[in-house]
Amino acid sequence: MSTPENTTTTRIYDAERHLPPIRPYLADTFSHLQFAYQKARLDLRAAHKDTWFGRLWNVMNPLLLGVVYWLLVIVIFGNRENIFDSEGLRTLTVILGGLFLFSLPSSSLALGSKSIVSGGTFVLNTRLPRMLLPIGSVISAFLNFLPSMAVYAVFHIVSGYDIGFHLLWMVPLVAILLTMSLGLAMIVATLNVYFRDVASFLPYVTRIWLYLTPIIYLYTNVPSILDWTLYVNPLATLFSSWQQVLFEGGRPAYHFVAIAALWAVVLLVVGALMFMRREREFAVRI
Amino acid sequence: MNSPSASDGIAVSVEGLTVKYRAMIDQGQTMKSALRRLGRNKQEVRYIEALKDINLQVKHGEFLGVIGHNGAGKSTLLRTIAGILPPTKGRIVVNGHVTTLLSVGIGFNGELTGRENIRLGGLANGLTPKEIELTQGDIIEFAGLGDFIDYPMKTYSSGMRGRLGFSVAVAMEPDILLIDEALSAGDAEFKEKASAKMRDIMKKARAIILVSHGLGAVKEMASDCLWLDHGRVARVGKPDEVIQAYTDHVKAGSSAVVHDDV
Repeated sequence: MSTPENTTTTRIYDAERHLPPIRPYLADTFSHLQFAYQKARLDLRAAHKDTWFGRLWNVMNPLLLGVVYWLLVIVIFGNRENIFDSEGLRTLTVILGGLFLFSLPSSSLALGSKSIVSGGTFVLNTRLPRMLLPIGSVISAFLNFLPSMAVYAVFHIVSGYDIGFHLLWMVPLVAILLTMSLGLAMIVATLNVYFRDVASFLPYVTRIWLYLTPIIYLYTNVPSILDWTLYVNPLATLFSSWQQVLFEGGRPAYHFVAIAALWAVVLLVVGALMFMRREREFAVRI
Repeated sequence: MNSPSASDGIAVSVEGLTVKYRAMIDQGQTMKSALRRLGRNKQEVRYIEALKDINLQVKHGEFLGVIGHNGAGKSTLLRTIAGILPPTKGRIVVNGHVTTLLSVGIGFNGELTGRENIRLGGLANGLTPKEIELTQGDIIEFAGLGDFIDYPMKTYSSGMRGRLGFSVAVAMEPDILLIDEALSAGDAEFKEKASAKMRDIMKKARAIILVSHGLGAVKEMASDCLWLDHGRVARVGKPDEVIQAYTDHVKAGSSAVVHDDV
């Protein structure tokens, strides 16, 4: 009855509500995804404008890191004789495959934690759902991840790992990981508004998480008394599935995928509720 | 074209609005200060009441000028109406598509060019990429930045940023336009163009709320005027009367001190 004829929207800002009405909020978020995507794309382009290698750095970073870990693994396991034979190459491929995938949660966390605090103009001068900022962080991470897969493909082929339809499993695995990453990004984005220390701690947390997840070692090398860690570490079953698909030439264990998907849903829901409950305060807190 | 709405043409209705800020007295938002607060079991926060029990209605076709001293709550009022700040008490009902032109203007990323920022501004306001292609030319022409449109926005002067921000905001065809001090940014020529544009928007039965220290702009263009004093409504009415009362209050008369920035 009070809806005006020619205006499209009536918005009500009420003091009593903690959570915004969820359905319109999500609709508003979806309708602005194009904005999040373009912002991520343009920000990426701007970030590398002044470096000599430009966007190549997005691939070179994990590649160089992979080489560092490879040398480390070889030093630890001590088979220095056959660094440069096919076994050494296959080890490098395993490490690269995992590290490239790990860039999704790690960049999402790093960019996401700063997304609100450094979102100045956006947070102070627009009324758009703030969720677009952590979404943008995950999109950025994904845009960086894509070219790294092309590099990985070369290593995969040269190392002689199986090629076939089982590799299509990579797609749902990446989708599950993106969901997790978005949940994580929203959690750290919210926390960092209240405790600015979070962004400083994060690189160390991420690094430890990397070591606790089957990335620079195979999931089959996890000692059987530590098997339970695969289930409490949200990333572990997913990265194990990834290794099964890439290096064992078959489908992942279904219970691994199911557990990873469960973790993804939990993280997404917890992250989204936490974020939405707090987001109206962001403008006063940054 | 947007004609006045059916609900008595109300564009913005503010009912019993109170906005409180939490301000940390301690050094800020770190784990350390949080732990310390926890330990002492005492909140080291102070509440600042920026707006106190504001009631206000703006109809379509109205141009409301908001005046008041620094820290009177003018920008807070605008941000709350825009849906950026949450009300602590009361409610706000907004009928129509709102475009905000707040002091910083657009500029999501200073590394990006003006053109790229127009693109993001358009997407943020819900335009499709195609619609942006169509309006982009008008925006660029209205802003009149010449070659600078393809330079990173960090190279812009504040006047240039303000001009681009204004041009983007009015190009979004808003039903309700919220402007914060934007006019003081451009040069004389641009101010003239901007005033004409705002009259145009009013004619199309849209609503404008302008926050300004420059009483000249309010006197010249506004149909109504709101004087905020320490977060309360001191007076609402015709611009001439309210501005008179305000200038009497600050005991500056109608001297140049108050009029200078517009």
